[in-house]
Amino acid sequence: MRGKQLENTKAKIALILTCALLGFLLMLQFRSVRVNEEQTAAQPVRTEQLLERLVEMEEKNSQLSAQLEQSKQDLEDMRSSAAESGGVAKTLAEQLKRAEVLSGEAAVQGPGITVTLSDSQNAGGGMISENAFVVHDSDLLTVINELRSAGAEALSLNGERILATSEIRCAGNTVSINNTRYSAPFVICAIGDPDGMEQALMMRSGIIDELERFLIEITIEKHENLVIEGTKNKLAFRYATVVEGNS
Amino acid sequence: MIAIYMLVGVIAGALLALWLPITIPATWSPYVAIALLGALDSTIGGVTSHLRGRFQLKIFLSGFFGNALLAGVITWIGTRLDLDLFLAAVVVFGTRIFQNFADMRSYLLTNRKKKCKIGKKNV
Repeated sequence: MRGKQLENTKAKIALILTCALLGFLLMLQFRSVRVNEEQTAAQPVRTEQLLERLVEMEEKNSQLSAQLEQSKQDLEDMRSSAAESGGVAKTLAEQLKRAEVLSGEAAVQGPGITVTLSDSQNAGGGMISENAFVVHDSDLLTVINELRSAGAEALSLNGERILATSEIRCAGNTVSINNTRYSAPFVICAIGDPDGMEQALMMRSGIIDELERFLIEITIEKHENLVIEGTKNKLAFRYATVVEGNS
Repeated sequence: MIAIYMLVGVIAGALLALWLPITIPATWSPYVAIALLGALDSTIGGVTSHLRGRFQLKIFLSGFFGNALLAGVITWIGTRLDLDLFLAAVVVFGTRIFQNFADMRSYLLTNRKKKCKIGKKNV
C-alpha cells in the first residue's frame, strides 16, 4: 500500500514536471513564432518604403534636370547678347568659355576614341569566382588613367563627363560616377590623339591584355569628330577658397 | 484530480517561458513545433490512460520524450530528403489526439451516467 502511495506521488511529480515542460515549450514556441514573424514582416515594408522614395527622388531629379536645361538656355542667350556688345564683355565671355571647357561644363568636340567594356559572357564557374569576369570600378579607373596619360583632353563615361571632382566607385553591382549609377556596358569617350590613345591601351601587358585574360569584351573605335557633352552637375566649392596674392 | 496537477504544470511552464527572455531561433522552429505536437499527444494519451486506470509512469515518460525526439528527427530527415516527412507526424499525432479525446469523452460520460443511476437507486 505504501509502495503504491510512493509510486503515486512520484507519478504526480513526474506528470507535473512534464506538463510544465510542455507548457514552457509551447509558450516559448508561441513567443518565438511571433517574434520571428515580426522580424520577417518588418523587412518587406522597409524595402517598399525605400522603393517609393527612390521613385520620388527620380521624379524630382528629372524635374530638376529639365529646369537646369532651361536655365542653361537662358544663360546662353544672355552670353551671346553680351558678346555682341563687344569690348570688355567680349574678352570676359571668351575667358568664361575657356574656364568652362577646363571645368567640363561646356560640351566639346574633336577627334577621339570610344572604348566599350562589357561583362564577360563567361560566368565563371569552377574554381574562379564569377566576380572576376565582370567590369569593376578599378578597371574603369585604370582605362581612364591610361587615356589621360596618353593626352586625353576630355573624357566621359556613359555620357557622364569626367570632372576634376568625379568619382568612379563601386556601388553594389553598379558603378557610381558623379553620384549617378551605371551598369555594364560602359562606354568611355575620350577626345585627344586617337592613335596615341589606342596604342596606350593596347600596350603589351597593358590594361587591355589584363582585362582580356578575364574574357571581358573590349572594343575600341576611332572617331574623326566626337562630341562630349558638358556636365549637368555644377561644380560648387563649399570648402576650398582661393588663396589671395598667390597667382 | 490529475487534470488539475497537469493544468498547474502547464501554466507554471507557460509563465516561466513568458518570464525568461529567450526565444527559439527561426531555423529550429519547425522541429520544436513538431516535437511539441508529439509531446501534446503523449500528454493527452496519459490523461486518457489515467482515467482508465492503466497509467504507467515509465510508458508515459518514454512516450513523451520518445515521441518528441522521433518527431523532430523525422522532420529533420524530411528536410534533408526534400520530402515533407513532418506531415506523417502531424497526421499521426493529430489523429491520436482526437482519438484519445474521444476515448476520454466516452469514458467520462458513460461513467457519470452510471454514477447517477447508482445515486438514484440509493435515494
